[in-house]
Amino acid sequence: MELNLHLRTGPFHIAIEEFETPFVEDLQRLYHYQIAASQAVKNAFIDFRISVKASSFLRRFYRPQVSFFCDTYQPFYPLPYSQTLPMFEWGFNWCIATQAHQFLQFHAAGLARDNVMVIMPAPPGSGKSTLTAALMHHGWRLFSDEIVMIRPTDGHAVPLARPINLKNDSIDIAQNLFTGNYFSQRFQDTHKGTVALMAPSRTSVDLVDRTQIPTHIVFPRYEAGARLEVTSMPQAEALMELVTNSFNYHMLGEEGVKLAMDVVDGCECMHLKYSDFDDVFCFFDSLANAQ
Amino acid sequence: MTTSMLIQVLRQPAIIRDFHLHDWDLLIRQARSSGLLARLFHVLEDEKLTTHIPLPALNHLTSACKQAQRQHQQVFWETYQIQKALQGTGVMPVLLKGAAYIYRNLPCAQGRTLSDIDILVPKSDIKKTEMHLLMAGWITTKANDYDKMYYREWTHEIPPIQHIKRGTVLDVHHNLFPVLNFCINTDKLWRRASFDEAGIGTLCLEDMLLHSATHLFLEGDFEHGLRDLTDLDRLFLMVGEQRRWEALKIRAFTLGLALPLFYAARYCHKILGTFVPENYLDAYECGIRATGKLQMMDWLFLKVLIPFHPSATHPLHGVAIYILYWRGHFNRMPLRILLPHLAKKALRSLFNNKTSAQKTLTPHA
Repeated sequence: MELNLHLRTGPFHIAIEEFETPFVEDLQRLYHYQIAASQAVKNAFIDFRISVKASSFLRRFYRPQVSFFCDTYQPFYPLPYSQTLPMFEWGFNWCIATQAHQFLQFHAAGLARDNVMVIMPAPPGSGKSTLTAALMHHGWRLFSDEIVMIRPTDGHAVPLARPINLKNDSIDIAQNLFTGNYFSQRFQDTHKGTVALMAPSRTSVDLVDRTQIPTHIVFPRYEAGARLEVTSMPQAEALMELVTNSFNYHMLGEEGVKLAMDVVDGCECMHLKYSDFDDVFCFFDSLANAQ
Repeated sequence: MTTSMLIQVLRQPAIIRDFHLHDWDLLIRQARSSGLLARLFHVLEDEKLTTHIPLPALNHLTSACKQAQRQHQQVFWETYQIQKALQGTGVMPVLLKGAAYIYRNLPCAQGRTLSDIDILVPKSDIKKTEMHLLMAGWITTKANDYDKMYYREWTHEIPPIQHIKRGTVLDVHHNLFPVLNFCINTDKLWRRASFDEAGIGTLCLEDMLLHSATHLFLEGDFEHGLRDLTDLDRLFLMVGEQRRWEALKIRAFTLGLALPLFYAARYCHKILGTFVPENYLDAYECGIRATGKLQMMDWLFLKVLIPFHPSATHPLHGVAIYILYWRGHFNRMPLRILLPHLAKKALRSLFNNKTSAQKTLTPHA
C-alpha cells in the first residue's frame, strides 16, 4: 500500500513510499520518534526512497513474497511476505553500505555515554546485539547495532539510532530484561533464524545529531558462566579486525586507510569476556567515569 | 519532446545554479538510474560548478565518484592479472568499451562505471585464452548447457567468466558484433589497434567510436543507453579536436558501419547537443532508404535514450523498448535461428522464473 512515511535517522532522510499494511504498525513503533511531519519534508532532499511491496497480484495467493526497492532499483531476490520488516532493515543497511561513502563504515555496534564512545565489532553469535540492547537500556546512548560510521573530516562517529536486530535466544533475554513497548513481532525462519527488532531509546533518538570521537574498541564475547575478563589488545590487531569488518574500506582507498588508523590510534582496544550483565554494566560505567 | 532534467543539465550544466533542493533530489535519482552519477559530478567539476551543489546531493555524487574510482583501480588490476594469465601464450588482448576508456584515460573515462571488463582476442585464440584465464581463476557463470551452446554457436563472445576470488566478470569477445547477420572483418581492427609494452591493446579512436555506436544502435539493450550516448559525445569531441572527421567517415564505410555512425552522430547532436559538422553524413548513403524510416527511428530512439526513471519516461517508452528489443534480435540473428532459440528460452523460463541476478563488478558491495 502507498505509505509515504518520512524518517530521519541520523544524517539520512528516507521516504518509505510503499509498505505492506500488516507491518506498518511495527514500523511506526520502531521509528516512533524519527517520523518526520509531512510539511517538514516537503521539498526536502530524500537520500533513500524505499518500498517493500508484494511481488505480484497472483503471488498474494501462493507463497506470498515481498520485494525491496530503493527508488527503482531492486538489489535482492524477493523474500517471504512475513519477512517484510526485516527485509526493510536489511535493505536500508544495503542502501547505506553501498551509497553512503561519505563515511567510513564498520560492521560494529556503537554506544556512548558522556565523552566515551565505544565501538564493538564482533562476529555473529558473540552476543553483540544482546549486549548492545542491555547497555542501551542501562542508559548508554545507541549509535547503531550494525553500522558504525566515521566522518572523514573530523574522525567523529555519526549516530544512526536505528532499531536493534535481535536474533533467536537473544530475543527472550532482551524481553525478560526490559518491559515496555520496544519490540516488534517475531519473524520466523529468516536466513538469520528468528528475528525481532527493538526500538532505540528516546535519548538515543533525541541526541542523534551529537557525533563523538571514538574512545574505545571492545571485542565482546559471551561465555556462559564466565567471570568478567578484560584483556588489552594491540592496536595493530584491532586495526586489522576493524578493517576486515568494514563495508567500504576498499572504496575509500588511501582516505580509508588513514581514517581507520586514526580511529584506532585514538582508542583503547580490548577483548571482553562476560556472562553477567551487571558485571558488564559496572565495567562500562567505569570506562565512562574514568574520563 | 519534453527533456528530462538530467539531459538538460548535461546540455547546459550552468542551470544548476538556480536549482532548489527538490530539483537536486530528482536530478540525483535520474543520474543514479542512468549510471551517470559520477560522470555528472565530473561534468559539474569541469564547468567549475561544484560550489553550487548542496551538501545532501554532494554526498551522493562524491560517493559515486569514490565507487567509480575504485572500479578504475580494479580495471588496472584486472588488466594486469589478464596480462599475467596470458603471458607467454602469444595472445594479445584488446580492451573494449569502458575498460579501454579507463585504461587509456580518455575523456570518457571520467566517472565511467562498468559492470564487466570486455576484451577482444582473435577467434583462433579463443580456446587458448579461455583455458589460461580458467587456470588463473576465471570460471564460466552460465550454468546450463543450452546457454553455453547459445553463446558459442551464435554470438561474438564466450559465456561471461567470473573470477572465483575477486568476483570480477570478464567478457571475452572474438568480434564486435554477433557473427551471423553481419560480420565485421576483425583483421582490419587488429591492424589499427595499438599495444603498450605490457601487450595490452586498445582500438584506434575511430574503431572505438564505431564499436560504441554499433553496440548502442544495432543491439537491443538501452538501460545504459544514455550513458553510452555520453561516451559517444566525448569520443566525438576527441574526433573534432584531432580533426579526424573525414577519417572516421571513411573508416565507417570501410568496416560497413556507416549506419550506426549515422545514428550516433544524429542522436548525440539531437539529445546532447554534440557538435557534428554540417551535412556530415547522408542518410541515404548510410543505408536509410525507405521513406519514413528515419522518422520512425527518431520516434523510437528519442524515447529510449533517456534516464530509465519513471520521472523521465514517455507513456510509450515501453512500446519503444519492446520494438527495439526485437529489432536487436533481428539484427543479430536470421529468423530460422532466432525462432527456435526464443521458443527454447520461453519454455525454460516457464520452469525457472527467477528475476535475473544483478551482476556487478564487486558483488560484495
